Amino acid sequence: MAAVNVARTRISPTRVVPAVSRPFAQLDYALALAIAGLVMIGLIMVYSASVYVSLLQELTPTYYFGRQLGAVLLGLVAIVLLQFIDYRTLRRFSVVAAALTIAGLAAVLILGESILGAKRGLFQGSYQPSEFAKLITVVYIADWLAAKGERIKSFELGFFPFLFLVAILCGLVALQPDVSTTTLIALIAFTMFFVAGARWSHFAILMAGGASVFAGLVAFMPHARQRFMEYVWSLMDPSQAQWHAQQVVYSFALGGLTGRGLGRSFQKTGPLPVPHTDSILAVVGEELGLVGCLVVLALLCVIIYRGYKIALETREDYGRLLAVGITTWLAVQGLVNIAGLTGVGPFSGVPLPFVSYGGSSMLMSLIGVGILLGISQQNKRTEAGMDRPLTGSRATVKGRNGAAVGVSWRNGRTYFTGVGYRR
Amino acid sequence: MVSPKRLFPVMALLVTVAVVIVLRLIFLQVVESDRLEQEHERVFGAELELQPIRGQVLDRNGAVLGTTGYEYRITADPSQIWEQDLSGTAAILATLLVTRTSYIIPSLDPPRLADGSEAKYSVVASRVSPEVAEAIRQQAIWGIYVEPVQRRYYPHNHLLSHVLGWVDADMRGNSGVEGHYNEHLRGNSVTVSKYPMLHYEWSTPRPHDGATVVLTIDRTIQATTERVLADALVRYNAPSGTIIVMDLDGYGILAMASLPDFDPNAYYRTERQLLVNPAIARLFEPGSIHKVLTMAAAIDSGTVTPATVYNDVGVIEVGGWPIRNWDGAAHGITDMTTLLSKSLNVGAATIASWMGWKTYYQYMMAFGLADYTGIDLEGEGIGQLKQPGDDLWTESDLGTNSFGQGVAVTPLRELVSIAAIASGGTMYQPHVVAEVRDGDRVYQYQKTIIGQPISKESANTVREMMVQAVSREVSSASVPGYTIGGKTGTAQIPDGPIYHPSDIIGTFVGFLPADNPRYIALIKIDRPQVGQYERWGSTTAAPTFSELAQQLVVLLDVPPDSARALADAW
Repeated sequence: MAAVNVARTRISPTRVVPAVSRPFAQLDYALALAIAGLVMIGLIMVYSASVYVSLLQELTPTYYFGRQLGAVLLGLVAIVLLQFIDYRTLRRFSVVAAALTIAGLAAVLILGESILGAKRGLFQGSYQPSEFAKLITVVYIADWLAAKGERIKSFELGFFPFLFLVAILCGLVALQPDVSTTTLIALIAFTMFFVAGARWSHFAILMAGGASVFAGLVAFMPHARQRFMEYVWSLMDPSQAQWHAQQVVYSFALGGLTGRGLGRSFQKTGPLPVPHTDSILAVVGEELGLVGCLVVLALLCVIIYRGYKIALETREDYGRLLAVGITTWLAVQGLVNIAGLTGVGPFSGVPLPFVSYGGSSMLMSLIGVGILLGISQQNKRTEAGMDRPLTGSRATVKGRNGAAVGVSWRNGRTYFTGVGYRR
Repeated sequence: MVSPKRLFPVMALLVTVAVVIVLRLIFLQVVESDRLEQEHERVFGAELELQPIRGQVLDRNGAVLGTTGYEYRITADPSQIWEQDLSGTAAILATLLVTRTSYIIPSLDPPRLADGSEAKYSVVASRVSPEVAEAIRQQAIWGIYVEPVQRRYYPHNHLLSHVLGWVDADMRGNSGVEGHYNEHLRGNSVTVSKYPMLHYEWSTPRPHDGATVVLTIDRTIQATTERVLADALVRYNAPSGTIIVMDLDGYGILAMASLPDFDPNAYYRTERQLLVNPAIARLFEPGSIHKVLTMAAAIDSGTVTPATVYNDVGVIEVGGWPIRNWDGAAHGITDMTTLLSKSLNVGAATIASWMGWKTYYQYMMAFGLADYTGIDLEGEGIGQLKQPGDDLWTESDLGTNSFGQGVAVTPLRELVSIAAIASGGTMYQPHVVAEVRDGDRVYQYQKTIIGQPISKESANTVREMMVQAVSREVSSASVPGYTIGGKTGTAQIPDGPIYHPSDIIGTFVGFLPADNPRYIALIKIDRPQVGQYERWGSTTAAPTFSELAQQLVVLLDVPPDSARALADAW
């Protein structure tokens, strides 16, 4: 596999051009435009949806909009910076980042502030490690799986350590308690495990185990149980749907085909609790109608499509797993959010990527697509033979490209977790 | 290892979810849109009327006569009260409401509605004090609610009850000031959405609270008047009576008392007859006090002067109907002042017949006897004055009307008409409200002339005659230190086709100071049950006037004649 990669990469030392000199030359414009469009719609809708909420909380009408704009600008800076570095550099930080994330999640459990009965934030709620955890999970698991190589098919060396890893991450988030994010992280991790080439039987066991743990969480966590039962009840009798779910349905219905007009939502003025966060698509649906919802969904689909396309175009395992992970994360989170709102699935507490209000979420999503854009550029540079060695990296010592080095490393060592191979 | 083949199932799954979502969105936003929109309208279209606070009624000095407070209504949502909690809930409520459990249970467990569903609202107790309501609220019983209800309070209970009127359970004013000024006192409610979350402080419309109404009535004078009247009714063993005290400058009412009265706080427990204000609504035949109007007409029309004399032979026939004096005697050659002082029916009929019916009734119309006074109180009655041309009028009515028989008026009407003499011939509209304070705006009552029945000179002449008449014959009405003018009346009471053989109404109209009248009062004592020879206006109403006036001159700060003479000398 590694051999194939190396062979198909046209490497010519004389044509090495530093990536830094032309950071946006190979930008995936379709992806970039889709992101830009979704972020724009998101900013407008956050402003529209949060005006009444801010006034009710005696804040300036642009309070939430301003904060969201700040997160977007910070995210843009991150995206730009990510174009200057090779995504493979991330591997160097993945272990430290994972450790910090686990520490952060633990800190939240011990020190964090409670929001609606769940501990999810630090520093007065301005920083939510579980948002960070989603990205780091992807970055770390991609690294871990890529390093595992073919041993992923092994029960003792692949399946079991992976299960252990996922259990720690998910367990910490589940204790917050945040069943939605736990489920999300598990789904992303399982998908990456599957795509990385795990055995069908292992994957089946994982899914069955995950489903039973999910069932257990739902059964024992009152909030989760309530939400799940509400969903079940609403399937049986739509008029019995709970207040929030019912108001979301009304929002969509009031919008109709073309909506009531931007800024004219009735539901955001009271019936919808926190309209600017998880239920923002309901405001989109009411103000911009089915058309608005389909535009948002279409842009999200473009991002997902480009994400997976980038994954398929990537010739080395780490990049491909990273692209799959990030794309799956955004896709699952987006669809879970919309499915919950439309009543296709149970109500969840996850934000709609790029649209919902939430600084951590926005920043992490933008960093995620920034990495995707970086992978895409790196692929094109590789295709064009403009690749350059990762100078200063231990990975470059043995080869001219990261993927080749990765393979050679994998072939040389045995290790239990990702931490092991660094030594 | 990481194969594209593994990615396709993932993408297929996501596409499936996306397609389901799109179908669901089309279902919600296109297919079901109208139905859900109607459902939404049913839920959020509900409106709520925010009630304004009813304005206060104050006396001329700002003392509160009528105000609005809150009581509480205890209600239940029976569908929220479980079967097993029923007796426990009822027991708690019964204890706090000081009643029996068996009285509470029916409201907590009412029969099911016609469609078989459980009732969602029932009233447990309709008027509960704030203390009890708070105690119930603190119990926080599931399904039990405490709703504030406005309630009108009259801190002085019976005081001024007839003038104030009352406010019913729907906060609608009835009778008197509450009725007449209901629109002002009530304020304007405002309709808002039932969902208060939709309205924030900066946009919530507030109801326009009711205006404050300030009366011309003085609480102290009213209380004094009521006490004097009550004493008089006891003294003369009379079942009822009325006193009106009026300022002659613009005819603002200072006191208006009628007994028996009622407590407007508990109007609903009062006999309906008692709720009527006798001073403005009950008609009576005014009797001899009416002679001053006849005299005023005769003087103003030039028919007589104070020096004119007539020969009183003890009887005169007008229109075939014989008219006799109260004492049945003949008084011989009599001048006009003596006619008034001795209150001679024959004399009154004589000058009326001299005038002729045309002139006489012109003057009676000018005095407004067939009109409302237009006082700003709900429930004013209108007098009955038969006139030539009416089916029932006969020429004999000219004779009897001249001394106050065969004509029916309200006490206020009679007072206002006679007041025209005391206030220089100009008749103003009587009123009880001095100003209405509606938010920042204040509307002040402007005095309104409703007629000029006689000239100023004629008025002064008749006024002087009234002063003379009182000083000569009615010492019982005198007020030490003050010269007064006035006229007594002993009115017979129609009892079917004839007059009651013994019962009378003793009346007195008096004003002071005599030379420059500032205040006028009418005293009316109904059916005094004292000795046969003491049932006269001069023996019941006149002494009551004296007693009242002696207190009023102090309260109203009227200097005695000697002090005013001294002031004039300066």
